[in-house]
Amino acid sequence: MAMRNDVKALPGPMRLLLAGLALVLAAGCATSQSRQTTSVVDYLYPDAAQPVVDQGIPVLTLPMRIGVAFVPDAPGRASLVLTEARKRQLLDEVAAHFRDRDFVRAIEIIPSAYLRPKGGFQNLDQLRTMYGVDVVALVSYDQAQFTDENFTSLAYWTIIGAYLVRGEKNSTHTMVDTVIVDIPSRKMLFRAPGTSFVKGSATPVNLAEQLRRDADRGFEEAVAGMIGNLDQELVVFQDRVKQSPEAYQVVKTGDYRGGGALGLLGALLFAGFAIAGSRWAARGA
Amino acid sequence: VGGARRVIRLPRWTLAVVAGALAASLAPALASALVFERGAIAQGELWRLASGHLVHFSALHLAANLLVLLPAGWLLELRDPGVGPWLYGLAMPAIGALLWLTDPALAQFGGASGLACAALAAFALGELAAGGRRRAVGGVLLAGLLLKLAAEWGGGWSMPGVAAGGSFVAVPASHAAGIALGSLVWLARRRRTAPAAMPLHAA
Repeated sequence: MAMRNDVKALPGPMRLLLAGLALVLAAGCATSQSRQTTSVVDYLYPDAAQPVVDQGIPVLTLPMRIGVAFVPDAPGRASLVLTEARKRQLLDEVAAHFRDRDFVRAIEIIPSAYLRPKGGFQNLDQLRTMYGVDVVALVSYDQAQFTDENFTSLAYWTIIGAYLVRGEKNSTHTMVDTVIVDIPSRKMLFRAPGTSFVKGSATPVNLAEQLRRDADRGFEEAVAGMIGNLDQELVVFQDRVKQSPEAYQVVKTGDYRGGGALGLLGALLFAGFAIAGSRWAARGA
Repeated sequence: VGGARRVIRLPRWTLAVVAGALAASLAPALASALVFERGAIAQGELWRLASGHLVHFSALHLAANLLVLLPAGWLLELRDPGVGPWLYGLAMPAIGALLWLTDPALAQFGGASGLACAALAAFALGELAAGGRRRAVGGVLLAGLLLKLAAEWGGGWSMPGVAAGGSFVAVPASHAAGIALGSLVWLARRRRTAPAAMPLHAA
């Protein structure tokens, strides 16, 4: 109450200035946000009422032909940064990392135009026929961008400040997620995510450009992280296949590369015991 | 003057195989000429049946195999200095030929683990036949080898050799063939194997 009286005691122009300042500060707290997302569940299971029929256990034919594609964007929710060319570049990075594995016969990069929104397994069956792939890696993403103005945005009042002062604070949160699906059995084999958090700042004039750059960097970093996670998940999946022959059937066809390999742990055990045991036996002789 | 001079007896044959494997790893052109390639073998390049053991698909694959082959071959050649030509002369082409005949889907093969298993099996049997502590050492080694083999076969399919750091499918048949051939070599030469405990360094 005392403070309100103090304000009333100020002269008129001063009160006007204070009100303007309060307005600017309030405007400085404004946050804008945007979000682009695709969902592998929406793509594979568009009709919630339709029952999911069990198609039996996955039969993995080695070496595999694997398709890799981005889950199609929902209408009106597509990322402007993720153009078809950029998607191709990112998928090339994923494919290049796994192409030389000898359980891989070929990796086919499938353009988004071949995937229909909410296409489901019918769409995947078509791709299977077109590309000859039994397994497909579906990449989905979720990217959110937030922009806040900080106190330096007061300088925008000077007009030139809007060109020079980076008062727009941006943060870009990105997650990409790859799900490996066996098409004939309709089973998910494994999945791996990748995340990224990019912070940046911009002037109001180059805000849109900076946001696009951050969004692109977010995808780049998230895909790089996802590739590393895919490596780890692949190892876990291999163990699962070995330990659960009732859950996965593996068929080897021609043209595979085999190696005589003892494994590092086994090698250390055998070598260590052979040397230590021989010395122990010699001492006892 | 005074005291016997200790001379380290080098396992020439094992070292030659190890040197060959290292050379193939350092020279991709050499590896390409030596690797087990079904198509090339079918066209008459029969040396690949034997030389494929010298080729490895990654540094870790090489390290894991030589880690066993070097000590096992060394110990074996110390016990039986003349065993090298027998072991490697028989096992190298025979394992390759067995894989060629029994696994038509195997397009390419590399790795010295079959030879390592052969050397380890021959050494373990020699120790088992001896008395005292050597018998225990041989028994444990042989049991370990057979357990590993059972685990590999029991596991069925083995995805790319992640354990060995390479991109290939592990071939347990090469280990089984190596153990069988190592046992055969030991049987053929058991009278020549030093019956008593022989020191690791010859006086």
